[in-house]
Amino acid sequence: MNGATNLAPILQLTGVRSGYGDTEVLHGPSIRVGDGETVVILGPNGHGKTTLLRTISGLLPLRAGEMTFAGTPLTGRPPDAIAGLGVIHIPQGDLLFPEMTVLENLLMGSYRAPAWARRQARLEEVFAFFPRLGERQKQLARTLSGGERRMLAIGRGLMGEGRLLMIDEPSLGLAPVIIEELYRRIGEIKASGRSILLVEESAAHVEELADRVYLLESGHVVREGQPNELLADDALLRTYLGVD
Amino acid sequence: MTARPEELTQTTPSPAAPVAGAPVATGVSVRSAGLDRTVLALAVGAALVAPWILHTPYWLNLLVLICIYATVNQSWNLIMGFAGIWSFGQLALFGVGAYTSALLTYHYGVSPFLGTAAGAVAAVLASMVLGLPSLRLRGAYVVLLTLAFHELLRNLITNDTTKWSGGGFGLFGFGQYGLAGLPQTDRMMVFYYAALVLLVLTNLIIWRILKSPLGLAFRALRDAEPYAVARGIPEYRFKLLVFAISAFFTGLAGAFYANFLDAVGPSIFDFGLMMNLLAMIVIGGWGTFWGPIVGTILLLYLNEALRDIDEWRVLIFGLLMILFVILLPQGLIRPLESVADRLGDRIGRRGERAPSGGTTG
Amino acid sequence: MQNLVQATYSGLVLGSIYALMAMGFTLVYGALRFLNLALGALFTLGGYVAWLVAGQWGLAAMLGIVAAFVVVAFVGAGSYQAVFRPMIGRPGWDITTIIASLGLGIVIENVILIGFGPRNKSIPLLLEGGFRVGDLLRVQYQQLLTLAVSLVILLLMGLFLTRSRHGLAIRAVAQNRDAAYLVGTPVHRVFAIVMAISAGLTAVAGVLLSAVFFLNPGVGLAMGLRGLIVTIFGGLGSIVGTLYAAFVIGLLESYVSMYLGARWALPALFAFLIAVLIVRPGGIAGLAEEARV
Repeated sequence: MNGATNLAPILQLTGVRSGYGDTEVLHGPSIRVGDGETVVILGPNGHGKTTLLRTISGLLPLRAGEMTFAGTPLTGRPPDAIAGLGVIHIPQGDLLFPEMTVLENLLMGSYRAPAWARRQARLEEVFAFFPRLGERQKQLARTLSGGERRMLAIGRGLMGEGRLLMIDEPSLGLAPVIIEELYRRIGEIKASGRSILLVEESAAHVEELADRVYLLESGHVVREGQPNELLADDALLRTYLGVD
Repeated sequence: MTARPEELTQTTPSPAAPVAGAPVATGVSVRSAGLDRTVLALAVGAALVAPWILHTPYWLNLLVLICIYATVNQSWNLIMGFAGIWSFGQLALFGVGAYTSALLTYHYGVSPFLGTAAGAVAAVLASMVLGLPSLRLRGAYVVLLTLAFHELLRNLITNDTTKWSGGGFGLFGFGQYGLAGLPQTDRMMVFYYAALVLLVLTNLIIWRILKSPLGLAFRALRDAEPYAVARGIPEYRFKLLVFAISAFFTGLAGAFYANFLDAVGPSIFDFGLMMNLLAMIVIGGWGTFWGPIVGTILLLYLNEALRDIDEWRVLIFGLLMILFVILLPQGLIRPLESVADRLGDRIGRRGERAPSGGTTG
Repeated sequence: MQNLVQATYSGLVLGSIYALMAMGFTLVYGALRFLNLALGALFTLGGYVAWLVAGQWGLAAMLGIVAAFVVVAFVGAGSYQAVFRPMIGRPGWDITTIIASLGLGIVIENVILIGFGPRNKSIPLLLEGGFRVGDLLRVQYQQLLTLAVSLVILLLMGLFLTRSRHGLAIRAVAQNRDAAYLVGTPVHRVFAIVMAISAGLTAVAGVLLSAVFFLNPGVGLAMGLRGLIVTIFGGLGSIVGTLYAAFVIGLLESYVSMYLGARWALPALFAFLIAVLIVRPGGIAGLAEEARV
């Protein structure tokens, strides 16, 4: 497990600055994800976690710093080209196609050419993974419940055959049973060998999953380390995450 | 649900970003009052002298048309460029003014002066008929509703076979405000100065409106509508008011136009003419004060200068319109102004030295 | 009774052409959020391409339709790259695109005028002849073909949008642009495709209608306005609403022409539209928010 930090980086961020309008949200954090590694970024809401993911996937322009994916610079690339490299951004459930069915949403996940050819096989996998999505495949996405939307977002991400999955707060607003279910699934994705960059507000579910953890506060990385050392530090957690 | 293209890479627009309305966010440029006065004095001086230099019926006719169209364009610019109302009913209101005056004089022997005033009032009434339902709607609907109003009027008049409105042939012979007996050049001179008064009056009042709290409110509405609405600016009533003001001058210009030409016909609703007027505003610089006037002068002149390549004229105007929207969305006026500013700096410096400069209050 | 049947039939034929035309507006509005007022001129251009191919070169009339679609589709895509794409990201997108598209329409219309002259042209009928159904109805093969071509194209569009990869991408971009980006949709290419399809549909409408009436450089204006009426009436951007609206407007125009005279058709449409916008600005039957592109 500890060897994970020595893996060749698949994603390398150096001094990344980004934000909205006149407001800078990310003040230059540097973050690295090794090939096959699962990295979790913890931090309170509104401190730049989602902004970070949006910057990596190209939805927000990078203002300063560098980003490379598998050695390729991401700076200045449009979001569709970044997705084409294999960076799959799984949003919180708000970035679905509301007037399309579950099935159509999933198919859009395989839009890029190599994945499109194998969409049927992927579809079966996703339905096996989330049987609920299979039951609802003819339903419009906007009619789904919160948990189902999250499943759909993840399912759509799995359709893309990406090398790096970036998952935005899988536990947000979900019932505990569903959260556990979701994390079990994410654990299986990890076991399949893919790299994962996951952001969460609470440390509750990630200790098992994470190879390495960053704490992001006010747009800065304040700590980096192994989950067992970081998450065992009660004082740290109280300070940054407000955990009792 | 669906992001607008301007948010292509940014789903959460910053509060400071312009949200709706015209592409030009600067409004009346804030420059020294001295320079404005200098420019104004020069412009008025030129306008007063021009007919004595261009003292032929051909040029005088062009000068009168410049004044009339500049009035219409400035009124259109007031609602489209400043108030963010995407009305394409401008020419329809112009036509309402022209036809009201013409019909009253032609059928009922009303004095043409009274008829002209009635034309302005009728245009205001028509603008209310048009504005009450449409100004609450989204922009695209306003475009269509006003276009529909325009086409409805055009069709009703063209299809009128009762001869009351003149139908496709139009009406003529309204006495030219009693000037019909004068020699042509003299008559044109009178018309020109009258048209100039109309233009200056319209511009003075629009200038006052733009400098007033109402004008400021409009710029707020145009540049950040949600913000302005949140600040309690009663958008709908403001829009109606400014729509009516714009219609008043447009109707006045239309009535004057009918009496000047001594004729009116459905060609007043010609779609090509509407596009021509739009091109004048866009090329001059919409949402700017001097832009529409400069654009009107330039395009009407070009229109004459390019007579030899008649069929290419409209094509060139269309092309210019596209190029300006893409490359110079603020129109010709910005580069012109920066030149004027540089000149103005020099004039201003000289003015400071000379005690009689009169630029400082 | 005979008049009513005949007018209903004509209205449906007309409606099918309007549906093609309005689908052009709807697709562009749905995906790019702007009213492409150049479509009227593209309608005319389609007619002239077919006139050239079928009328002048003497090739098969069906080939004229195909040629019109292809040529005008390229013009549509080109106009996106040259005119509209540079404007993305600027303030005032809605109104500046309207102005640019008006300018584009003027340019296209005048290129046609310079190239082909102002005189009326007629496209040879795709099919000659017809038959009568008792005393009730006169049917021309040309009309049947028009109906068939329109309906087949609309059906193909429906399949394209729901079954094909690019069709799904168009709907995805229309519904949530950021989400479309995240799954790797090349948004600008999709926009260009939308502009191409919408221009092509309009061109086919142009061929079908000019084969019945006549062709001159100015025919696009009135047709563009009709297409716009249908689009707005259908709830701006709603495909299903647009289809309903196209046939409602086609029937309305046909009945007015039959009972009041053809010259009242357009005024009646405008009056009707103004009334509809005042009473129900969202389009007909609450379809506005349903079934977006």
